[in-house]
Amino acid sequence: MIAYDVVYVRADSVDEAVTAWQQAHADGLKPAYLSGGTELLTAARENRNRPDVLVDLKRIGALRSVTESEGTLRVGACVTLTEVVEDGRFGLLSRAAGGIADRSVRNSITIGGNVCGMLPYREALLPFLVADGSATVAGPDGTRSETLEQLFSKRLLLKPGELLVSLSVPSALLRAACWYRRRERDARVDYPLLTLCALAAPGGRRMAVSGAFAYPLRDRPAEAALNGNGSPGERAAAFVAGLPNAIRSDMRAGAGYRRALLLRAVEDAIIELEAGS
Amino acid sequence: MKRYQGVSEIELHINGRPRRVTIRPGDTLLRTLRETLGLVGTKMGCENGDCGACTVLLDGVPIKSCITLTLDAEGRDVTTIEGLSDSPIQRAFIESYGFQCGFCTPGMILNAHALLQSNPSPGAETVRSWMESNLCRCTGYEPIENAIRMAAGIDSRE
Ligand SMILES: Cc1cc2nc3c(=O)[nH]c(=O)nc-3n(C[C@H](O)[C@H](O)[C@H](O)COP(=O)(O)OP(=O)(O)OC[C@H]3O[C@@H](n4cnc5c(N)ncnc54)[C@H](O)[C@@H]3O)c2cc1C
Ligand code: FES
Ligand code: FES
Repeated sequence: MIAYDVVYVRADSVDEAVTAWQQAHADGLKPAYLSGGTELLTAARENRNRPDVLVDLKRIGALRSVTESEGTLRVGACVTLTEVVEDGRFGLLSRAAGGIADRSVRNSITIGGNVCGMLPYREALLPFLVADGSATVAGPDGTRSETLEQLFSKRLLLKPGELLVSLSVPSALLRAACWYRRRERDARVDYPLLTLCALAAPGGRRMAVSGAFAYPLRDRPAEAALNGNGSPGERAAAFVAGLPNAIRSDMRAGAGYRRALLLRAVEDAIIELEAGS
Repeated sequence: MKRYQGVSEIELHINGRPRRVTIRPGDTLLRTLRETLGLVGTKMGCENGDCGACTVLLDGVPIKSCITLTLDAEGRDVTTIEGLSDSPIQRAFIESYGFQCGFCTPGMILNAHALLQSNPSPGAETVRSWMESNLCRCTGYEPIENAIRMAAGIDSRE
């Protein structure tokens, strides 16, 4: 429930959405793109976010499909988590998306909303990070596609008025050996203390993490340790020591506990990916 | 492109019937169902997407109506618990003692109904993965799972 008078615009195309955002902005109002609405509605009810104009993207056909062509799998920003789980072409994404919240909520949460949201977790992004994903965004200056390495640092680096159109990964990595673990404090549906997605690509192992930090993280320099010498435990310790980021501590778990979960997960991932190769 | 501001009248399609309703853009489907249309079978629990008491079906798919705008339901079929009156799944909940206080029951029944529509003979894992969307604080989940198995015609002792 949004208790104040908000304006709602249902866009039929990406251009219409961008124009509606620009118009509201030019009128001195605060616009927000609306997708599944699961975060926006909760945040507005609690007065944590007070957009004046909601520009709904959900009925834009171009944002609603998963397509594969020319060696690339593209997931439209308004595809729901249930839909990507059931699509199944990107197994690691199906597992990571299927671990988020519960099924009824996943029927509403969209890939775009999850990746662009405010929460630290944004777990649906992890498979795209480890599979060298790219993002296509549209805004007042037109449409551009960039790798996530360029476009993601703690959050998606969107310019004012830009919206996420799709996320994509090379088809060649869809069937690469992968590994997934999610750990919660109490129930399966809780926020994760740690989610780890790992992928064995031809150039080496990669790992991306949610829950341990205040944002999803893939750190390429630290990954060198995963592919070096030493026992799996030693490599896991070197990888975690190489991460330049502070591990979170909150009411769910302290940093020491999260670090232990991370070390164990990285070691298990190395062992199981090596056993499978 | 459609724009809504202030008070508007829209048409919803609820339990097979068209209903004209006056809304504001920020209204959630939960509030519209309960407070405007008097369909109070849909329950308000956490209003945060956690408990599932507010579950309804949009085009047959379970969603939590507390985190869904009423405008999202425009042009789509809404099913509330009032639309499943005297259904096999409702009878199975009664016969299996699948409720105590009954607060979670409308959401449980709607989710279970959608599950059985999409998979008439679900295994235990599938039942759990769907039903973890709904919390019950008094019955315990076993009688609820038994009700679903009864409605699906699966022997509970299997
Ligand atoms: C009960 C519950 C449990 C949850 N548990 C988890 C969890 O464990 N892990 C996890 O990762 N998530 C979890 N989530 C999901 C998360 O908290 C957000 O609610 C969800 O990711 C938002 O997705 P949405 O499609 O509903 O986005 P919306 O609420 O519509 O939007 C979220 C934000 O993204 C922006 N946005 C949306 N789409 C676009 C776009 N295409 N381009 C640019 N900006 C856009 C909006 O302006 C807004 O700021 C949970 C949610 C609930 C309700
Ligand atoms: S009231 Fe909607 S999930 Fe609790
Ligand atoms: S029957 Fe009381 S909460 Fe489920």
